[in-house]
Amino acid sequence: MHKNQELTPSLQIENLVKQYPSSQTIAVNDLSVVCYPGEIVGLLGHNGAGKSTTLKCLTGILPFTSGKIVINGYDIAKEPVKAKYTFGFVSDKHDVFVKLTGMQYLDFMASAYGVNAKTKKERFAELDEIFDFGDRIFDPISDYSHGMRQKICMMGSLIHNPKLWILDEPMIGLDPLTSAKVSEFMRDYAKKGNCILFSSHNIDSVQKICDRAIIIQNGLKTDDFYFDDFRAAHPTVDLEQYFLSRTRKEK
Amino acid sequence: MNHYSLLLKKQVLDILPARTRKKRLSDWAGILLMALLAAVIIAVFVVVFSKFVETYCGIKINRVSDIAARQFEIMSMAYFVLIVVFILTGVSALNHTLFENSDLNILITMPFSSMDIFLSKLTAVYLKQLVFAIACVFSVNFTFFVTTGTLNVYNGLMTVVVAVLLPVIPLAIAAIIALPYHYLKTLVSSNYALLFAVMTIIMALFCWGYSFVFDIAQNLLASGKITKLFDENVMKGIISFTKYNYPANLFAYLMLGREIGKNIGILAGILVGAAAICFFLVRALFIGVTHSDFSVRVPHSRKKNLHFSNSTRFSALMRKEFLLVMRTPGYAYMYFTTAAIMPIMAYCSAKITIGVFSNLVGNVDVGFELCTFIAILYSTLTNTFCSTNISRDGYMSLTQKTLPYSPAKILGSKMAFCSIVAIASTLITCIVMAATHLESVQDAVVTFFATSMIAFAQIVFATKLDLAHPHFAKTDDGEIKEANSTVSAVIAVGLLTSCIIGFGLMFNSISSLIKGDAVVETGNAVSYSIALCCPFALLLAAIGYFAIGLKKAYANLDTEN
Repeated sequence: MHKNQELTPSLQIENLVKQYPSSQTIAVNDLSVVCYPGEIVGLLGHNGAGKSTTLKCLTGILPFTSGKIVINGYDIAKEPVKAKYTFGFVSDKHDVFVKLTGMQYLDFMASAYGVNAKTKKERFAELDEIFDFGDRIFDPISDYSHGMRQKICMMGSLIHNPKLWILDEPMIGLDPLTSAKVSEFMRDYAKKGNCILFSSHNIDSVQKICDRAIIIQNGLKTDDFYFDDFRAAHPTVDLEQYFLSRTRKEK
Repeated sequence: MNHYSLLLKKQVLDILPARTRKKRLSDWAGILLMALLAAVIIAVFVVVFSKFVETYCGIKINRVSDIAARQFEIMSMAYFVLIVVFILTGVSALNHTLFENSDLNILITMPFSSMDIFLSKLTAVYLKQLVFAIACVFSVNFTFFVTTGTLNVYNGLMTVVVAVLLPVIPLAIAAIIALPYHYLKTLVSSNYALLFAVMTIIMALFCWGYSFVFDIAQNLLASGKITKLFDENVMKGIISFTKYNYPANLFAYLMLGREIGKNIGILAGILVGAAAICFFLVRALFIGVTHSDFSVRVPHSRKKNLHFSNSTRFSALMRKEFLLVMRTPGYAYMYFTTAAIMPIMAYCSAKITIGVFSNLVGNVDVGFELCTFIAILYSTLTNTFCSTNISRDGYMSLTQKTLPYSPAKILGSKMAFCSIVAIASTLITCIVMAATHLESVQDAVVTFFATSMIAFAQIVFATKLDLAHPHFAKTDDGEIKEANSTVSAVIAVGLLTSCIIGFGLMFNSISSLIKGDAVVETGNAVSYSIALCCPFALLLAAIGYFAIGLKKAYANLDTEN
């Protein structure tokens, strides 16, 4: 039993099923997950396991076949706009309007969430401490490197201080220093009562940052555990070995 | 297949229209439209050039006719124009191949020799020029020889030889200009306002010049007084220019079968020299590009003030749309420039068409009908830009779905942005038409409402069509540079609609004339009804198409499916 389980869940996924119209296979099959404020949850799985599809369904990018997704008390299917106000999303493709400058992009993102100019400035100052853009924020995003685009996407998704931060493969493209800063920021952000859910292939980073891991294989949830519980139950088992043994078995 | 052939096949496939996985043409409507447009251009050229050749050959200097001299002058001038056109297309092709095509980054990491890559690219540029040369040289030569009655086996064979060899000389000149053009283009492109102003001025001048020349030519041809344009002084200038107009005059001599041996020798020398310049210069440029020697770092002169706006959520979407379009040269040209010059284009076309119509049918006032037809026609062509309303956001259209906006707000902002530009452009067009008395103020008001309704219907239809069948660009900047089936469908529907309404209006006027009405009143009740009811019905249909299944279409929008 997690310490925050008495609070309203940040995310409730009930029996989620997603089948693409063009495919016979079920991308996500009867997935149920509940995440609470203060948690950092890592979504693990091999390529094509259904991680990105799950994230696309819960962020409103894709419609789902059946099931229910509630984000901070709002059903994403019934009250999508209200639900979307409460989370921020970073995709794995660094989707960003490259013709805008970094500054203009952040201004747009903040305006989209209804943040006023004063708060925008304050939030930008806080985020720039971590992501360290300096004067490059005034350059067009088309001039940014891969890692810088990832950073501006992260800043854009955090500008409204979301209660739930969802990231798809967030550490790819970040330099070690920024990666460490982002990890530290994630822990601080979760301590403030926010929830973070991210997908990753990198078991090491999940182990270091997350409180909890969910493993998905072929669209099915196979494991869902808190690291403290896992370590207590399997003191000699390495997570990477465990993950590999689970995925081999499932395959 | 050796490396060169493999690379050349790849380059040629890049030029050819895109095909689906089942090897079917993915945009057959677009290809059909392009073919139709090319056929119309060639047909118009053949008719106009034939008439010009006929008239020019009849010019007498000091009352003495010299058909052979006139024929040489025509061919010399025609080849001069062809060489200039091939230089321009050559610069564009080389610039695209060397500086804009990102495949080089991948090809140089693969086990191909740099000579194979270079040669395949140069050959592809030449082949592209060759196709254009065949169309141009064949049109010019065969029109000329048929009109002058001098078509024979020698002319036919020589036309083929010249079409094959002619692109080499302009390509050598283009190779010299390619690098300065690249620097200039990069610097101008980085200054969005300047680029927009330059493009608009060039296009406006082009339209004005075209209508000016067309107007003069039409009047002169109609009255048969074209020979008066070529007085003694003008003819002296032409004779002098065509005599020293190298190498175009050599091609003219060759085509007319004069001093064949001597001209083949000189031209062979020039061609070998041009081929050598082209080869070595393009090779030098290619090596420079692979070493990143020509990358231009554009300084950004933006103010570095940390200023956040207090804009509303909807105005933030509109501002984003504006910035994205304004900062993408292709989009800025397709939308802002065409919208800005639409009043000039519509005015010039309406003026010419009304003039031509009066000459053909007699003194019949069809100002309202023609102005409305032309305003709708240009408006539909200008608004084809909205057929990329969804696709141009690329992968960001998915992230946009995670923002707290309803589909209606996101799509509404895009349609509102397009509508503001379209309606402003239409309004100015109608004011110009009324101010220049091409139609009355009352007629102009009806033209405005008819065109605006069609414009809005087109924007709504195109946005939904793009939502249902998006074509996301795979490039880093997300810019859609090629026409796709949605764009072609929107153009085709737009042209068809404007033609149906335009012909309906014209038919109404002409039928009155045929019935024997003494006075054909422009802008009568029937014309007004056609002009307002058809667009209104189309608008309702477009809104219906947009609304039905909108939520589902937006929810299913996915870049990977």
